[in-house]
Amino acid sequence: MILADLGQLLLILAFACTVYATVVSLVAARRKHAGLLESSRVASILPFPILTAACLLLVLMLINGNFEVAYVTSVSSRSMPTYLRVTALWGGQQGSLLFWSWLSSLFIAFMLMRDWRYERDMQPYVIATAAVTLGFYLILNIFYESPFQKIWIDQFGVTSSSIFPKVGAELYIPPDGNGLNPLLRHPGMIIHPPMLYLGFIGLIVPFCFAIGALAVGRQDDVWIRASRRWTLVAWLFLSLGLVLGGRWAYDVLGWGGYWAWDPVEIAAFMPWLTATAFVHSVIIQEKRGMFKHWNMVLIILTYALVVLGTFLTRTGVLSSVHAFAESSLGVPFFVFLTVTLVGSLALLIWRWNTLQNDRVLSSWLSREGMFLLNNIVFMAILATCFWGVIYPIISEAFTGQKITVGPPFYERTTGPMFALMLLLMGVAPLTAWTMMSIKRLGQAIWKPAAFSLLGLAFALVTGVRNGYALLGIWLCTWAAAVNLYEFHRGAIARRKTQSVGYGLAMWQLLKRDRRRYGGYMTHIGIILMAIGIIGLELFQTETQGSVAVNESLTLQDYTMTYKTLHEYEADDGRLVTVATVDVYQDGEFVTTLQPRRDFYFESRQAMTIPGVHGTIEEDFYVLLVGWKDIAVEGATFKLYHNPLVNWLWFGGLILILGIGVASWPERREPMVLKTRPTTKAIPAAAD
Amino acid sequence: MEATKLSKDARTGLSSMYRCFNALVVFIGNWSTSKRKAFQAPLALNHVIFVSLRVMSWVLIAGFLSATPAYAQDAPTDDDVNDIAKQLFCPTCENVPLDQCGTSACVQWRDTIRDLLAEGQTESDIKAYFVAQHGERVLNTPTFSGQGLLLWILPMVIAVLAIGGYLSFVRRTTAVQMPVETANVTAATPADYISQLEAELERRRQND
Repeated sequence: MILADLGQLLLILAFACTVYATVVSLVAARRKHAGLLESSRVASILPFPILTAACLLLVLMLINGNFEVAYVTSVSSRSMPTYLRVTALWGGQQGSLLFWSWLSSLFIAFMLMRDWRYERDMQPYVIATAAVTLGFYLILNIFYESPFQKIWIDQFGVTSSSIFPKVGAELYIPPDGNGLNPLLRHPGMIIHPPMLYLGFIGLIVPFCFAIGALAVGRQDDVWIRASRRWTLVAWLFLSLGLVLGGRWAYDVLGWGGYWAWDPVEIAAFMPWLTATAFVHSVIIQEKRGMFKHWNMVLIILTYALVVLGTFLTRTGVLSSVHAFAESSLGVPFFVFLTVTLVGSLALLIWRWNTLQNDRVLSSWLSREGMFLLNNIVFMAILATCFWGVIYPIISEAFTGQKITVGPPFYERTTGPMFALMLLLMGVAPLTAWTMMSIKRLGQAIWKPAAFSLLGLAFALVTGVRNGYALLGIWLCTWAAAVNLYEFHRGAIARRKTQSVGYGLAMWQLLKRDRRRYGGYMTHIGIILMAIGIIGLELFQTETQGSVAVNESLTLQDYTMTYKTLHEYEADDGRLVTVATVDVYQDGEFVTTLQPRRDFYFESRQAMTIPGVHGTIEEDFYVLLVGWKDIAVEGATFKLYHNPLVNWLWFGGLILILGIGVASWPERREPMVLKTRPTTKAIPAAAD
Repeated sequence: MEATKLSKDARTGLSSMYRCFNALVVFIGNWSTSKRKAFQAPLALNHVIFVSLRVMSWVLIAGFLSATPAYAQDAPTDDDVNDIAKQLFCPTCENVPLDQCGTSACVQWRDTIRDLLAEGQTESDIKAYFVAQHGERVLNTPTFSGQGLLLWILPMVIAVLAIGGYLSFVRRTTAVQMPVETANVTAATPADYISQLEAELERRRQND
């Protein structure tokens, strides 16, 4: 019990640091006092070691089984293995909030320990923004959802959890905990939340820099250059988190899909949309000095969507499968979201005229014009998703009647926009900066366009007759051809001038201009994912049936024969029911699969794990839906035929690798603006 | 399922016939059970009577159906049920479609779908039935009417705004033409492209 109180004390200490850092950094900015600034910098690094200690303390209590702590009881149990007790740190509301705060403090500490030579004037405001953000989450941690609350029992035998006991209540130590939600025990689910958290939190860094730049009135792109790698790394983790989440759903949730347009999924997808738009549009500001206001809007929006995402998932405003994190944090979240959004937009409006674009758009048919279109499409997708998420809330508020906005809405509305995005990926890399004639674009584009007809022909030959699918495949081949052609073109050119081999030339391209060729790689990853999505969304088939032993079910060219069913109790507190089935393709034996159902005694929850036979063309996916008594020996199976789904996972891998290439650090960060001498920095003294 | 091919009249005819039979069977069953004492018949016998009446009703219907092959109708399969269930959400298990949900409430709902299908009701009849019982929220997406109208209209407004905004922005900015910077104009010839690429890579190299 002393441990838990120590934990609470550490949280308060970290919070005090953020308050100190905020106040002192602003005072330092006002008085231009270097000593105070340094003091506030240290104060905003300090929460990191303090919260590290708090996290370790909670992990220690989880491993020890200190069940007098309410959080430990709610997410762990004696039967859980040690590694699961460690990961239970982020398996529930309070713990994951602490974990979130800790990761924020980690990012903030790293951000403030970097070389600040060129952005010293912005530093106080960056510190203040970061400290306020961390401070807000620590307030939630301390006053609303502390993981260090203990369980108390009063004279009537009623238990409650709080930091301090009520009068007459005594500490209560339950014999065992409730155990971790079985859905969270899968390796995918152990990694998925930290990846998303890293992505979300990483996006706070460019926001802090943007606010810093606005506060001092710098109109150059130093904030973008300084935070670029952070943005890319955050984007990498966010993308990885989304892909892993999809993979986990496919492996564990047992519905044969990877994305359900669940409101919480969309809450994580929306910051990804703005971050992706941002990653593209900052290139225009760096290269051409344009879209300066727009980039500010984008990063403010991204930050607001990150806060909104945590708000939606943690307050239970939306009830969904992710509702494990429900609580009553609504009011503080709402206040914080409003204050930060209004505050940063007010700052932007105040600085609106200070931000001067170096150039204007010369033609729609130019690289800039294409990036503009890209941003508009991303914003339209975002607006549609946002509308779908809040519509049920609005509708219920006005009519009192709940409605559900499900997948068909999102598929029908965003589908055409994603198709447009594919088309853009097939045109934009070929456009030139400033302006370009249609004729010249035609010269550049006819080869890949002709090549894409091959893709279309291939689809027709293999029997695809669905119009949407044909359009999608055609666009995918086109975009893939353009992006691959960029590699090829570069390698050929290098081979000629440097007289190196083709492979080496390509390697050098990738190594030298990581951002550009890493970018093309992410495009190729997205295109591969699109092919997988087209396959699964348009051609997935399913069937369900009950069969006795040695009877079969057939789907497409697969036949599944039910062999045996057996049950056993695993030592981690679950009853496992496994069916063994033989799979035949066109009458030939292929493999034996073991779909199963795990039932967890403690939480009384069941999990359906599919048996999957995967090839590059398709997955044959078998679910054990139900079974009769052993005497009858019948079982119900649901079979899915998922064409091309593995392209989705492979594409996801390429996407992540591509972002990795683009964000891989160069040996020395070019902090001095060598390439764009036109950029002028307004000194802080002018403020 | 063949039922989808039947005309509306034939379907209603069939389903009302089925309902009459069913009502009769249930009535006789209940009546015989309640009069069990009066008849002094053992429970098992009552049960046998009840079941055999039910079987008779099925045989009669089956006979009727086989006599009119155009109306041939199988018992609904799991797939028929799932086709409809996947478009519905039960009010308690939010965001889990009915075809995937494992709770007992959802199992009952699927049984209801099966019964309604067996009665010969169509997909839209069954969806309307659940909407009448539990409100619009059971549908996975609102229809283009009433409460859902605004949901569908706004994305169209977004599209119009996006296109309009884009066009007006392009018109506004490109009207103030800047002198074309020849240095940055696209590579016209392969030689231009190579030199541009080399220049870019050289800049990168210097930064290394």
